[in-house]
Formats: sequence, structure tokens, C-alpha cells
Amino acid sequence: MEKHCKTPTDKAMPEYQVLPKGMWHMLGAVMLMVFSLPIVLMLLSALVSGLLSERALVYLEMALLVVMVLFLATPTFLLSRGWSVCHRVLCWQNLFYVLLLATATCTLFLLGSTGMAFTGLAGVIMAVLAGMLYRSERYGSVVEYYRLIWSQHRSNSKR
Amino acid sequence: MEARPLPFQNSFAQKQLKARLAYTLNQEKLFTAIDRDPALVGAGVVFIDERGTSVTLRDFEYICLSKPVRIVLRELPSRISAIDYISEVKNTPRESRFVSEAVGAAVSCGAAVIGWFVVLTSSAAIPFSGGGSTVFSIMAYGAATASSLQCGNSLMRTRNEMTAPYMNDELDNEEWYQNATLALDVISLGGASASGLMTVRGIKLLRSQGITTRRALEGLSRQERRRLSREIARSNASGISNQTLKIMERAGKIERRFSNAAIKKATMRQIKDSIGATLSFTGSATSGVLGTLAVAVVSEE
Repeated sequence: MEKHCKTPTDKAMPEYQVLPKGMWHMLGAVMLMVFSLPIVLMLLSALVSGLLSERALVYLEMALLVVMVLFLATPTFLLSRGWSVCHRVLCWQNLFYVLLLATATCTLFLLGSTGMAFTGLAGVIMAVLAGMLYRSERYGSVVEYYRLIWSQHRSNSKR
Repeated sequence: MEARPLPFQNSFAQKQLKARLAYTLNQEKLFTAIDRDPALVGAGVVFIDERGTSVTLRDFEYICLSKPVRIVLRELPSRISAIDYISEVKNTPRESRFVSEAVGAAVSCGAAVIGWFVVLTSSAAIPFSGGGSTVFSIMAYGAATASSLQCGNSLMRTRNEMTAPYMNDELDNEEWYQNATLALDVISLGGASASGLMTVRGIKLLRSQGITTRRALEGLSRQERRRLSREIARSNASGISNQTLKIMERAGKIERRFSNAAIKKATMRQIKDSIGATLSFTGSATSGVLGTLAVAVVSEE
């Protein structure tokens, strides 16, 4: 975390890269998370289907999907605008979904809902892959690249 | 056959279909012909195009019939013959909708991938272009978020189509859902239009300097890059004088000469953005001419 505390102009402006090193990791991670979110909702709705009516369940799914996508999209966008602190938010969010998916998958498996458990397993795999991308060195380098160019840009704009 | 409310795949496609039918189908003549048959007086009329988008042309009216009767006009997909299609409609009426939901999910998720690609690449370009494309970048964020939502929604609809198709029907009949999907379409299209505008602006800038896209990708001379950099600065601040331009260049506020690599990459980005825009449009809009129709009469027992 030491590098995040440095002043914005501590390093020279890096060269322009339209596809910065690690950008594919960032894209891969966000898309794997986008695919995981509906699976989280499917598992949750399978678990609580006995408690709520189908109509209420559909509304709940839609509302949760909007919230979850916004919670994923906004930090990802801010990260690409140099807000490196969002990296940690995304890592924690990913960990939360991995745990949620794993718990839901195990529960459904124990309840005998094998089909949904396999869907959950696919979700766990995708979320774990996204987590690996979030924590990869290349992802860190692209976060640092965005931080540098945006901090330079902001400090230039203030002058 | 069990009568159930017919689905609206999405309201944008539905409006497109209504507009198409307004000039391709003589609805008054059709309704008159239906009402001539005593068994069909006041029957509701529903049209389903080859992609599964459906619109209600006329609601059922309780004139002579006590139980609702609907006439379903269904466009034939080009891949199968009329006879095969009729048996398909009779036996597996929802199968084609599963496929169309899955295809819709693939297109929405493809648009989301490209939407995020545009967000990440444009964010990398803004600090170097002096913030000229900030508004477009925020629109791209909106489009990427909307496409991600559509992707998630389509995946859930595909699941519904397998496990509980009536849930999709219920959603499709909700006005708020139709409005929400329309809003998402508009946001996606807004992002796509912004990408398109950026591409057009980039091409116009290159053309104003007599440079083709291919030459921009191959590499430009020092003078050409200098002229192009000035043109970009002028485009970002219209009405700027040469004097101010020179002062800003000296102060380092604007780029004196973009590198060949930067121009090549920006051109490549614009090409990719335009592909993203095309995908978003494909995901949202529908087109085509009126093809062969399958007609079904659906009534409640």
C-alpha cells in the first residue's frame, strides 16, 4: 500500500498505451464477475423459493441484479479513472461472492438439488478465476498505470 | 392449446415491430376480415416476428364471444419449411423462445464485453488527449453498465425459459419492466452513438488533413503529426486562435506532436469502438421485411 500514499507527481508520466499491460486481466475479471452475478441470484432464489412467492422472487431478483451490477460497475469504472482504492473494494466484493456461491452450492448439493449445485459450481469457478485475475501482478500493474496517468492529469489540470 | 399472455421480448424491438407493421400490414382490412367470421368476432390479434418479438395489434373484445379468442400471426423463420414450422409451433411452442433468449444473452454479453473494453481504453486515452473525451467516457460507462445489466437479465431469462417460462411472460406483461428494458436499450444505444460520434469525429479530423485511416495505421510524417495534433486541439476547443494554441503548446497544456504509436492506437480504438457500437445496435434494434406467416387461433376452453 506504500505506493498509494505517494504524491501524484512522484513518478514521471508513463508512455501512452491504448491497451495497457494488464487491461485484458481487468476486462476478464469484470466479465467473469458479470457472469457470476446472475448465478448468485439463481442460487439465492432457489434457496428462498419456499419462503417467497414466485412473483416476489422475480422482483427481488431484478432489484438485487441492479444493485449488484452497480456495485461492480462503479468501482471498476473509478479504478479505470485512477482511484486505486477501488481495487481493494473489488477484491473484497469478489471474496464475498466466492464465499456466498460456495455456501449456496454446498447447501443445494446437500438438499439434493444437483442441477442447481452444478450451476453454482460453474459460478464458483468463474468467481475464483475473477479473484485470481484481481490479485494478479498484471492487474496490479494496470491499476498502477491508471493511477499514475490520472494523478498526473489531475495535477496538471489544477496548475 | 393453453392460452397465456404473449411475451414482449423487449419494448424497443416491440416498437420497431409496430412501426414496421404500420406500413407493411393493412390492419383495418385484417380486422374486418376477422370480424366477418361469427366465430372470431372481436378476437384479439397478436403478431410475432421471426425473432420472437410480439405485439398485440388488437385486444380481445367481448362482443359475441364470452371466452377470449386470440389470433396469432407468426412469421416463419427462414431456416425451416412452413409444414415443419406448423408442427413445431403445435408441439414445442416455447422452444424457439429459449433459443432466442440464449441468442439475446450472447449478444447482450458481447455488447457488455465491448462496452467495458471502450471504458478501459478511453480512460487510458483521456489524460493524453487533454480530457477531450470525458463525456463520451462517462456515456461509455453508462452503456457498459446497461449492457452488463442486460447480460445478467438475459441469462436469468434464459434460465427462466428452461425452468419456469411463465415467469418471463409475467415480467413481459409488467409495464415497469418494459420501461426499464427500454431505458437500458436507450442507454446502451446512447453509448453506442457516442462511440459512433467519436469514430466519425476522428475520421473527419484525419480526412481534414488528407489522411486515410489506413495511412494513420501505417504511420505519419513529423509534419503530418504536427498538423493533426493542432487539428485535434482545435477540435477540442473550437474558436481557439493560433496565438493561444502556440502559448498552450509551449506551456505543455496541449500535445505538440502526437507519436505515431498514439495515432495508430487511437485509430485502432475507434475501429473497435465502432464494432462495439454495431453490436449494441444489433442487440437493441430489429429490422427485416414481412415474411411468410403462421396463423394460429388460440381460445380458452
